[in-house]
Amino acid sequence: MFNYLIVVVLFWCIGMVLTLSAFFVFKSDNKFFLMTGSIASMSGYYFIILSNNNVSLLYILFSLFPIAIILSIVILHISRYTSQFQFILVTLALIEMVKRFEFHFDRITGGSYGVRLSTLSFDSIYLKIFLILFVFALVYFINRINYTRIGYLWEITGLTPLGAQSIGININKIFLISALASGFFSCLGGLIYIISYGYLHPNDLSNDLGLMALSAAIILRGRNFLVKFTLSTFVLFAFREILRFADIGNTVRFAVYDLILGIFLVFISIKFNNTLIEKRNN
Amino acid sequence: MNYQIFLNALATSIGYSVFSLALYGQFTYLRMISISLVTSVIAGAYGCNYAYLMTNNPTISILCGVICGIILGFCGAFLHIKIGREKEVMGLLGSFGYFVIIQGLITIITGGGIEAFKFIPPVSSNMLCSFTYPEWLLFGLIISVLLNVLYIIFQKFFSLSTKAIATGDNYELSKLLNLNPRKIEINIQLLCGGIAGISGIIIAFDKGLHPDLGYDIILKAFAILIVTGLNIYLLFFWSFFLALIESIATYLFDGQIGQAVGLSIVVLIVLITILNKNIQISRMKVKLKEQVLSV
Repeated sequence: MFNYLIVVVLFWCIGMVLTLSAFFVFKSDNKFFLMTGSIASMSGYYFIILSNNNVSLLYILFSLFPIAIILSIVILHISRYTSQFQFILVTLALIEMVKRFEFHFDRITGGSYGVRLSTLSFDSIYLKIFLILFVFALVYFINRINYTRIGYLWEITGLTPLGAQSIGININKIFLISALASGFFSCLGGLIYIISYGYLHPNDLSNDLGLMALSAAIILRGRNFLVKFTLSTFVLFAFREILRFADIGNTVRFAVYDLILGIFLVFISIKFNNTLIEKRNN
Repeated sequence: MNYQIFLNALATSIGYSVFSLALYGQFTYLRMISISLVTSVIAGAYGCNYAYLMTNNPTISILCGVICGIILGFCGAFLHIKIGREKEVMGLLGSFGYFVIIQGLITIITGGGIEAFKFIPPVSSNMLCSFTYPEWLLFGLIISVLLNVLYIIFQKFFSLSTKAIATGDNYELSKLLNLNPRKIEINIQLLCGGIAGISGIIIAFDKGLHPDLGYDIILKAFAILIVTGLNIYLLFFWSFFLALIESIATYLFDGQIGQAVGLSIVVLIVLITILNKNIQISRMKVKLKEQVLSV
């Protein structure tokens, strides 16, 4: 029972970290960053391959985070030259591309069989508990940052980039910091996934996780950050993991995920429309 | 073998071009790009298949596929009315949610397995059903061309077309002109849903039936739409060109890596098109600024 609980909470933590990754980009640049799941997946494969070849953990971490960060900066560079609409389409295409390569490079990624972490050094309950506590502390820290000067500057940049520029904020610097943070969190999500499951399949960390993270991130704008964050990530991620242990077939399980995600997305879009209409009426 | 590559590309491009036509209609009339139409494709394919299983009649099954597409098109229209036209990106996200819901429901109902499309059995006395693969391609090609021609006729000679363009351009103003924008929007969504239903039947013949059918076509249809722009006459050419690239990549590269390479090339083409258009727009803006400053 305890192990089961730990697995559910760890998946919740992965969701939280991926949501933070999407949230950083959404808040500073107003762009819908869907690639969190893909970057997490790539970093997961990188971690598994290196650790299976007995490369030291320190070296993996030192090489892994810069790669993820560079990748997210490249993607965000694309975002500077595309509109929000085009950016969504391009990222959707890139996600599909990454997924296909992961599926078909079966010598490296195991293809449709997935790949397993052969070293057992990460299979420690204390490490998992430490990760859970670390993620919760991180979320609390980000919540605190929201109410500081940096948090307000960050919010202003996202709401009106031109306005922020006119009062002397270097918006490019804020975009860059957001990109770095986003890459870091995506990569962390992949790492936590590998440490908690020790196995990765191309379907595990894919576009639907990125979408879930994004839909949770959209809700976070405004007040009550912690409440919204906890509730949305619980419904989207922890509930998904609880279903894994329910005695229903895989097909039905994935379909139920789809239903939850779909209802959430439709709810968000309708809610935003109502908010806009209310604002206009006021 | 080369003949086979062209044949594969043609088979893929027919379905994609018809679906792109539906997306094109939605974009030109309602000024929106929505993923909700993909549900019409899936519903059209499944509707046609199950109708054929029950009635064994091709005409009824095609009609049933189109009706399923239209019904899902209506649901999509209702969703977009609820979401509103204020936020296009939210519309895209909401329609994606709607697509995911429908896909989940279809997975639960059908069990989620990959099925052969039973609409055209190997042996049958019916004229439609006795077609072989190249003949079916010809039939699909004729349908595709016919739909394009009908669409152009609709665009040029029907009053609904003008009304829909007016509604898409300015929603509030069209209300002042005593048009009923909601009704027009629903009509256009129904029309596009019907076309998407037909494309579902064609695509399912090429790819078989599975609930993930939508994911396969979303990206490619959008890619075709982006590369084509607003020129409807080039829609089929570009869909054939992109399908040909994929087909050649699958042939050249070992195994299924070819699919990934093909998709990468398509993505690259789309990216170059988007960036090129954006650079052109920014240059025009700079020129305009310079002109204003000189004045």
